[in-house]
Amino acid sequence: MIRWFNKFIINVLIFLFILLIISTSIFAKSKIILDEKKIKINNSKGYKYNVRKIIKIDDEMGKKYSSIIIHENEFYHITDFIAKIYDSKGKLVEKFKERDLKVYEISPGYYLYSKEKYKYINLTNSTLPYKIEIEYSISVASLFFLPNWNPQYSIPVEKSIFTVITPKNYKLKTNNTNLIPKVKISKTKKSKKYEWVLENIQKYENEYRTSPENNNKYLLMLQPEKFIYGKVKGIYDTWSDFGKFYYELAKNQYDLKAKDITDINIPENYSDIEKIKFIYSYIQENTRYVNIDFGIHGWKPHSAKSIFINKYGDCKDLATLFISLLKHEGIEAYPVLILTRDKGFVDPKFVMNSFNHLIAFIPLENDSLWIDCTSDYSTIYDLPRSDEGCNVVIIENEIGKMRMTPLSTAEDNTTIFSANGKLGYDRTLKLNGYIKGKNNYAQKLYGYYRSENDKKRKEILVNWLSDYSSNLVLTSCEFLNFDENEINPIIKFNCISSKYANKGGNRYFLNPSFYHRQNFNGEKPEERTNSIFYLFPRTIIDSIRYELPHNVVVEAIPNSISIDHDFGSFIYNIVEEGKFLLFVRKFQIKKRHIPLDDYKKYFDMMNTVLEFDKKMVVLKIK
Amino acid sequence: MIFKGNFFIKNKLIIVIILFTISMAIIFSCETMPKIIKTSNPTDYGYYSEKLFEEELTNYDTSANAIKIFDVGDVIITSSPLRTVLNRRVRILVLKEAGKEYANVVIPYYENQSVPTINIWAQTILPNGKKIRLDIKNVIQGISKDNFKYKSFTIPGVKNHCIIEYKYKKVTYRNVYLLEPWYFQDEIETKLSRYTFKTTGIRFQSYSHLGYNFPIENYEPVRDKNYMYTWEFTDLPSINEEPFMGAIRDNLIRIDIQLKGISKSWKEIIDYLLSIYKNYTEVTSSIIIHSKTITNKAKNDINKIEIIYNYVRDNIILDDYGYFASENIKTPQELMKSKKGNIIEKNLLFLSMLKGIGVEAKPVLIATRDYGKINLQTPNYSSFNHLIIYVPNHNGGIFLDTKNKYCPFGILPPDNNNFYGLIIEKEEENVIKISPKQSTSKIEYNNTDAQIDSDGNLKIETTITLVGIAYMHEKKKLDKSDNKKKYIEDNILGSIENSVLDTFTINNQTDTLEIELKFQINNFANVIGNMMYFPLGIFSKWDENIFKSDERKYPIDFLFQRLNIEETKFIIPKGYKIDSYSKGENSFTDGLNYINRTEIKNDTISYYRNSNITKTNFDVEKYKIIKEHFAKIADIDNQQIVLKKIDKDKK
Repeated sequence: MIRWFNKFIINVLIFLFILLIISTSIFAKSKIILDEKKIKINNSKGYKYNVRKIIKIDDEMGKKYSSIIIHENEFYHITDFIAKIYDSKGKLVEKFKERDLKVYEISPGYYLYSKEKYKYINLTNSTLPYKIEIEYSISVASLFFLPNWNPQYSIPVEKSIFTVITPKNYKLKTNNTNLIPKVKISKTKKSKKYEWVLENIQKYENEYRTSPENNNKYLLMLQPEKFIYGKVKGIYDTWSDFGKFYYELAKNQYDLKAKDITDINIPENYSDIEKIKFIYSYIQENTRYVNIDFGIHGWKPHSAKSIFINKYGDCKDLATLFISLLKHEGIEAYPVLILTRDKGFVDPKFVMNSFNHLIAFIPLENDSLWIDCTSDYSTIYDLPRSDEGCNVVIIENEIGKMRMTPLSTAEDNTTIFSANGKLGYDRTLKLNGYIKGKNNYAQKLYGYYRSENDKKRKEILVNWLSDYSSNLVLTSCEFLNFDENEINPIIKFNCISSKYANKGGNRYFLNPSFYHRQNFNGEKPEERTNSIFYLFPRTIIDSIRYELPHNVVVEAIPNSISIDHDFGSFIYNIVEEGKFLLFVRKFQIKKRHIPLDDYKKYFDMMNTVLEFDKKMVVLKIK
Repeated sequence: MIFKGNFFIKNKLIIVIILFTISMAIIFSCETMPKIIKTSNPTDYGYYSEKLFEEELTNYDTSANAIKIFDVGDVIITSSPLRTVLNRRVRILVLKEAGKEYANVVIPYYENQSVPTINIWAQTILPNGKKIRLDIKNVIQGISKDNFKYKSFTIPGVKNHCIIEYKYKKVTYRNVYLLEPWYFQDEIETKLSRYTFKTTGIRFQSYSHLGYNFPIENYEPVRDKNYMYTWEFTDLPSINEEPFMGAIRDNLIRIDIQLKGISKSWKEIIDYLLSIYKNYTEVTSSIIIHSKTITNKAKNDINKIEIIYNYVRDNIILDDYGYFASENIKTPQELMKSKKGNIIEKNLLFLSMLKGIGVEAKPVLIATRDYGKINLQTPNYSSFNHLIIYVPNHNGGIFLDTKNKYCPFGILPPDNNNFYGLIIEKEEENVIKISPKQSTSKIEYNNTDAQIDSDGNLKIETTITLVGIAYMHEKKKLDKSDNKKKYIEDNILGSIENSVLDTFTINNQTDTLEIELKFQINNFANVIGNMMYFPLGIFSKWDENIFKSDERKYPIDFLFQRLNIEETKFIIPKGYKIDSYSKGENSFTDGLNYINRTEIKNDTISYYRNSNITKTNFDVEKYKIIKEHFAKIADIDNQQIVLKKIDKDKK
């Protein structure tokens, strides 16, 4: 009996083992078997970065990992490149060396003065599955560019190893998210080795409206003892130190003499605020943004004089010119290093060069000003949405100060659609009204319309108004306050939407939400893993008075609803008053971040909004 | 601007053409400008006054972003040495912020055997007459994907309401036969565009104009006693993209020039290409053996063609764009060994393997849709940017392209379906019409059972069948997705609000995708009091018209034929009756057919919707009819059916 039982167990185990193998092969998916990165810091001038990857490509999805792209520029030089392709049986199919890499430059028109190149090789094999192995080194000529370790990809990773070797007494600082494991440190006579190992990392999942930092759940950042960039020495000990570095790098670029700026005439009797407005308008109207590659070798701005002559530049150039012009007028202003909110969030406790943009700060007694010189549509009082609520470093002379930029409120960012409509016997809706935008919505209106001629403006407006109309004719329109940023823009319009109301037997169906209707495709609450992120809080208001034709009676009207949460609200209200229907819809997102705990409430609210945006008034033909 | 951004990446051919065309060396100077330039035209070169500036502001439409005041170019081609010299000068009035982009200039060139010289000069003229010159140090040279090269610069000192101008001289040796076309029109209004052409020692042969809706026959060139030809257009409107437009290039007014003894005839182009394709047209024994081996189990010839097509499409990795007239085309042996090649090499291998099993097949040069139609009047390499394979048969033959790994056998990717192609074969009637029948998208929502409950929720079971172009598009998305459920939710059900997927099965055949779905739509019907109402279309209902503008400037191009069928049986909830509904309506116009039918039997509503676009191209005169057709579809699609609770007392 026992023998039989043993035999049975063995057979079951064999069966399970076979099943495991079969299921493994059936459900095999591309993955990174090994992702090994090693940094060796020898001195303060630079480091060597070794990369080794073994990737198993099992499906179409994974094939993108067969395209290897390595950037190279005046600081980065690739050496010792080797790549191999193995077939499914582990047999070497092809081997590549550095000479097989194709060299490309960034496309023209995108960067103006970029020395950035990329080296590229396609390691795709003709038959799936296959395995690729890549190994290369990069010599980096400045510790200013120490890389982060972010071991998560869109395919799973079996093992990821990150090693940093420094001289024995080197002070390396690190900062990491809580998913990064504890470091293993070992020492030799001359060196110190830091090693982080992670196994079985799940692939990255995209979700509806997640914040950029959700893409960095696994993140380790390194801070070198000191660095040299462009002959300027720097340390990362404090934000003040980092500020000093930028100050030293850029301090000679602000010189402007009166003879250099003859074509700008600021009235002498202007107050400081008027001067700031004047100069900001001058920058907005007379310069243009040209990408000159901020990321790698673009930290030092051009001289204010040359920017003034050329009338173009990148963010740091335009801000430098702005600050210089203000200084010339005796107004103190400082450059501000910022990581735009759409790209992430700077940890104020860890000093690093994690910035991608530069704006200006003007300290004033009552209300200091933050100004982005690349924005053509902002006033001196508002920042573009991606600059709002960011941890930034103000370079106040030789000192760097960590501060947060202001964040606008839901009320600040309001858009209003207001109209009077008359429904005809033939279901045609004649509508006259206006669209108004404040702050970020004003900038949106400027962005779409300001640069366009009348014809194009009409075309865009027809597109906006006819999202839910099968045949809309714009009979007239007027664009008010589009020439200056100080006053909120308004679009007035008259339009006719043929057969706007739907038909069904002897009834008309009128959807009162003519203009704004919500989209939403968020995950079910049980599947959601991240908080919700909006780049800015907002208020969207629709208010329409409909006049009904005499040949119909109102048979049914949607119920009204009012939902109010900490994070947002929704009001939908429609009332019959004689031959009129008065419709109000207000959708509001009050917070930039909606925590995961509130996702269920958010999900329910959004679905209610979807449901109400479909609702119609039922009109019965007499 | 026409030559800007990723234009080059997308249009390698044009680049090659343009680049090849204008390469040679000489030093830049205004003195060499042709006579025609020295006119009394107020936009003459060089001098520019405040008065002229004011005049221009007064006379022009200042609501535009920018206006091209003039774009003049002159080309001189000499036989000894064989070279092309292009002098070009452009002056633009910048009016608004968006117009400043015209200050970013990219000059592409092709470097083959000899390096062309390009001399650049640019300046901004402010309203007060002040001039700001481009520092030549700020001209950058680069190389991009496709190995084309470029010089680029941005003109300094640009403000709203200023003039920018630039001129350059490009001298190219050899490759003269690849003369680039001259485009008179741009995305901004052009007040004057002039092209002057002169040859010495080479005879000018012919020219042809292209461009949409312009009386080009009225624009004969002026020829002076020195045989210098000048074409001049004034007040050309801007050209902007419209929905379903086709290639902008097709609508721009341009000129193509032929040179006797230099420009190639169709025959010469074919002879040259046959010489470089020799390794593929003359089949080797190894190719024959390989082709026969992989097709030895095929049932018939068409099956053999399909096997070889699938083999090349799936086994040879596409590693580059490729140029059809390149002298560096790999041999079939190299291709078979490396299993990698560019698209030209892949299709040539396909050709070779077909020949290897005795199937008649021919290479055909084409221009892809985004590249623009070929100019049948003027033989030129620049007309083409791609090569496909034609297999003749008694039904007119099939065109095949192994480029797209998601393209099933028998389907021609829609981008290739650009009316005409050139067969590369000796002694042939070489220009061939490419049939649009091979590019069709078909989606059917069959056997759909939909059960609605008293809360307005809908339970649905359906089978979706995707064929042709629809298969191609969806198969690609499906393969790229590692989460099939998410693929269904995002793509198939993505446009259906409040849909919740229950179960699904994907049946993937070689040319058909069949998806069986069970899902629910919450709040599908609106419930108010004792009534509920809803539209009957679930999958393919249109809420808005795809054509919104009142006016249309350019022809409509649907790219491929589209058939969409939706057939649903709705079961209404118990306790409800059908109160009112529309029986459906149809809309037919030339090449656009729409049928919508509703039938009621007891508690079952049978809904049938068929939308069929059989004609892909329409003249602009048809725009109103087409817009009305789609407006009618949106109106019919949104008709509501009304259910009412049965009054129990009455019952």
